Amino acid sequence: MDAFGNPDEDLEKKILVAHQNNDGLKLAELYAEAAYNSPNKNKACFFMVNAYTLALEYKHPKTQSFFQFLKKHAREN
Amino acid sequence: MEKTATLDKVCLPIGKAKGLPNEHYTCSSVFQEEKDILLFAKWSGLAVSAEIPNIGDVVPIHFQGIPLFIVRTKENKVKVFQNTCRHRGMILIDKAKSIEGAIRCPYHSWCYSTDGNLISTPHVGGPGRNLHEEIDRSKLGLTEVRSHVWMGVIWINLSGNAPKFEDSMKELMDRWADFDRPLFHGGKESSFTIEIAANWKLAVENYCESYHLPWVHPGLNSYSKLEDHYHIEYKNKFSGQGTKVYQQLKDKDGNVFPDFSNLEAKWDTAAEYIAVYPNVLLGVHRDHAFAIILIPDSPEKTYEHIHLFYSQEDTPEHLRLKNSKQWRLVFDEDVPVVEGMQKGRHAVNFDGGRFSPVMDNPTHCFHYWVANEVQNGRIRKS
Repeated sequence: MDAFGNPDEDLEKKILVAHQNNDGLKLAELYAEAAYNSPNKNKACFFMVNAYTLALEYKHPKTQSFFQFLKKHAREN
Repeated sequence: MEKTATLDKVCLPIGKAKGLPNEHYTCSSVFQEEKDILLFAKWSGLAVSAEIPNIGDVVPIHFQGIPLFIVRTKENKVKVFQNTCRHRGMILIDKAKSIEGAIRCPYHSWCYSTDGNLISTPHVGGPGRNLHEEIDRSKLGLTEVRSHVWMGVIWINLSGNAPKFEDSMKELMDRWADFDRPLFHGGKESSFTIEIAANWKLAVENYCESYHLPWVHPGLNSYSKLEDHYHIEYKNKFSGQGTKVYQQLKDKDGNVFPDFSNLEAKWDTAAEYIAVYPNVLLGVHRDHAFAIILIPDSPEKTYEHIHLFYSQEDTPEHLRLKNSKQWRLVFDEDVPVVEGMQKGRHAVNFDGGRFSPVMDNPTHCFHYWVANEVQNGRIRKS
């Protein structure tokens, strides 16, 4: 994660590959990883929104946990 | 003007009546008018529930230009929705598939549950914010279309103001109470589609009468003769024909399909074929049933989607194939006459035709319904 809260190059590449492969479950996990690693709350929530959205679509087992993350930061209710 | 052609003569007693004027088969504006009055305002057939057998299955369907999808919800209910996101109107479902979790719009990823609730609005309040005080998700669910499953068919009422399905269909549901039970679709080989170059109403008209059997279906007529048939008419609801000498299909060893259980004795030899207005043609027998859903494409083109159903899930495949082949032959035999009637509707001096006062009663019953509904619709509009 860089100083601005962006995911490192390696994670970004993985996210792009997962997008290309339409691998929604993997994407959810990668976005969640980016969120958890982000030192910046707003950036973290941005990534977690993406993680949660894909988790909803693909019924990821951690959907509820992603939701709680957003709720904690008043980004979901 | 075509649209102002009088329909009064159609509604006369059958001995004096004339058929619907040509424009009801050829004119685009009348086609549009009938779409609203006859298809959208009533309970129309859309598809069969067997197309979405498993929870989460979803199929996009265009009905008269309207993008819809059918879905089997997590609660195992069949529902029909408009296939458009409540955000920017994007099409949500572009192909048949199984929904694991939520339906996600491919544009901005608004997410809906399979029962139509809006459950997530990513970044709607800005990056990383799924909420905004002006966006009330509880009021932005998918637009549901009234639907009901009966005889394996998903029926819809697009206008939303037809009487309840059970009230609209009461008389037929009572008549066929014996068949109000699970019907098992015969699978892939038990579905087929026939494209006809004709107005959809001609398919109804041909289906509901037995008068043409000796000439168009000589094979059928060899054992089920004209005199073995009877008319079925219920004004403004349905019409058709029945036979008193139905014979079960047999394979070379004499095997037949298993019967539906606990049928009344009359069904030992009876079978009935009823056109349920506007666009569903149903047939019932002691051992199988079928549904034909007519999808009008244009004034002069219609798709007939045919589905065969059985009393059990595990009927013999070779018999199912034989039955499909037999019905396909019968329905194919109808195509030239239905298309021939369509061509005849371009004869400028054709006056709608006359009915046999004895043999054409179910057809006249349908014409009466169309004429009456269209006239009432025009009065409401004016």
